[in-house]
Amino acid sequence: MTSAWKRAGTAAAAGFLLLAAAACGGTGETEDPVPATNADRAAPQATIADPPAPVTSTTAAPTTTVVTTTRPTTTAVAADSSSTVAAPTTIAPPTTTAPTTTTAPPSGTIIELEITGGRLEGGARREAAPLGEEVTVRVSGNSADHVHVHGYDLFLHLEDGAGELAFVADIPGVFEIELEEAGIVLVQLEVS
Amino acid sequence: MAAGASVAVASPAGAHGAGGRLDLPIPAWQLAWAASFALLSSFAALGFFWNRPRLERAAVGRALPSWLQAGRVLLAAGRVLGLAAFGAVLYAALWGTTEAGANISSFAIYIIFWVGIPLVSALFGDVWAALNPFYTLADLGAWLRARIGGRPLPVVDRSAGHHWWAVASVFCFAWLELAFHNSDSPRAIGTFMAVYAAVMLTGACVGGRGWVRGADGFGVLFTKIAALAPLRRDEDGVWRARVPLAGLSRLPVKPGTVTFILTVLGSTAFDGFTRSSFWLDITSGRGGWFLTALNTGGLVFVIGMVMFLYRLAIMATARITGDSEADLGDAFGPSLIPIALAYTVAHYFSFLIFEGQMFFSLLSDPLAQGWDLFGIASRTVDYTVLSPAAIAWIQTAGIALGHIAGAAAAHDRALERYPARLAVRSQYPILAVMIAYTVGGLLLLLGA
Repeated sequence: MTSAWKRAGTAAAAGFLLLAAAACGGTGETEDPVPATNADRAAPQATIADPPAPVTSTTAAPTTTVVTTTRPTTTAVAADSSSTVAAPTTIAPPTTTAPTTTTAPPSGTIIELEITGGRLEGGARREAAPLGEEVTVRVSGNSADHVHVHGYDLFLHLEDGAGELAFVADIPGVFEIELEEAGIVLVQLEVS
Repeated sequence: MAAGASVAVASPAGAHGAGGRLDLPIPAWQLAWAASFALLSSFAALGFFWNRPRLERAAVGRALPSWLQAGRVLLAAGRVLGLAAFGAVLYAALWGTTEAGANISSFAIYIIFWVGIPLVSALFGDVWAALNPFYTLADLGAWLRARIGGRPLPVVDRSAGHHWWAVASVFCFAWLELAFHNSDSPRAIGTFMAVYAAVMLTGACVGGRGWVRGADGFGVLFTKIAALAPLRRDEDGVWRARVPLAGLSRLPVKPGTVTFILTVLGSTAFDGFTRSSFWLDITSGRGGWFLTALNTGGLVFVIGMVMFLYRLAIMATARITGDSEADLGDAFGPSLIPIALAYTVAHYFSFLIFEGQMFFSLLSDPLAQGWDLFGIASRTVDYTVLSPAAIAWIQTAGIALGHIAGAAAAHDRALERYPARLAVRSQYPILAVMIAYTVGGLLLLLGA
């Protein structure tokens, strides 16, 4: 009985070694996916993050950090719908006091949602946001409903079908952004 | 807080029973590790070192010393507690606040009961048997009936028939949690509980105490999961310690039992499937009963696929060994239980850790009356208690270990039935289907 268990143990250990050997031998296989997936994630972020103005990233970087630090951690702004929809760039950073930010785009991820007749244009989608950075949900359209960011438990009451909600994505995970009363999932927000 | 927005208490998501946060997809390299580990262990299980059956003999276990034996008082306390908890949750669900996030019922049922009890059962044995309010009520009824009729209390007839009632009950529950569009509504939960209790008690009146033990799907499931535990309470009420997994070799398999296990496995897999972007595209923009219909179709489809794969494996095994398919299906069914538990861990562990916190906050104010019994009513979920990386490891390790346990149990069962050589050959198809379940489970975690 005991010897059999011992043999089982050695066999299991041998299995582990074999696996480790396989993993080391094929480092290319096991390690490749990591940078690959990171790159995959980074690419859409960049495109979502600054749709209004192509940024010269080196100069924009310091100014954006100033913007984020002057903001409270969680702000929710019921935006004037017309200006929000028409020209996102003009209202982007509410903190106009920050120095040299006349043309700086809002930092972080912007999720633009057009909801008409209780339906999201283009259908539900998945969006990625980096951990610790700001996420802005900007809604336009004509639905009188609430947008609920699960997990963070933020609600955006849509006035005349529009509104804007900004928060710092400081909880990692996947969160549903839902059109609350219609019970429709708009976005799966992946914070990582 | 700026005008136009307000922050409310956590409110469960509509797509699942409760919960606001889903896990991050596990990294692909981690999936590769877990999958190769599972594959390797499967081949190891093919009889390099395990060449005679062991579990059956180990299932009896060794009696624990008398000072560790739980007394009758403790068991009676468990029954009172189970009954009181059922009553309280039913009351909160039917007459408490309709705001899902502020009502304790969804957290109590979907998290503490449906996720917590299986995990506790797998570690400590069949705790639900001691708490089950339906057993208690049925026993009470039987006692009263015997008392009035002046007859001695009849023993519980456990030999009774089949598990089809249990299949129906877990399917209805899975439908409520995963398919129904309003699954976190306290009234829906309350209605389910009331109807379920009515069916169980009617059945007990007609079929006796033994009927409830075979028909209560939750009782059946938790008893099966408790077969994995290193602790058990035997027929004489003595607590015994044994090798984990050993109990699987002695699980009674009745008509419907294997369907029951596959239904549980399939419904958990469907829950993972609903989080994929593929399903998100299908259900995009859908709400209400239309969403329910879509979900119902998906639920039935995934359960069907899980059953179909198992059927295929059994057909192949039957060709190898020459035994009848029905016989083989029953023989290897219990070895899927560790995989079902692994799916539960992989999909709901973080749910228990995070959303479970809301249950305790709400215990402080169970009826949403503004009470604060324990001073923690205003506490919200702390998402930092476990890092996403730790959760990803628990998920992958859970799936890999569940796979190994399942493969080992199947191997042991094959050795019981066949000489060593044939046993190994008979296992190829079963192992193949287990690998399919495991890799499928891991792919669902990838959230592609």
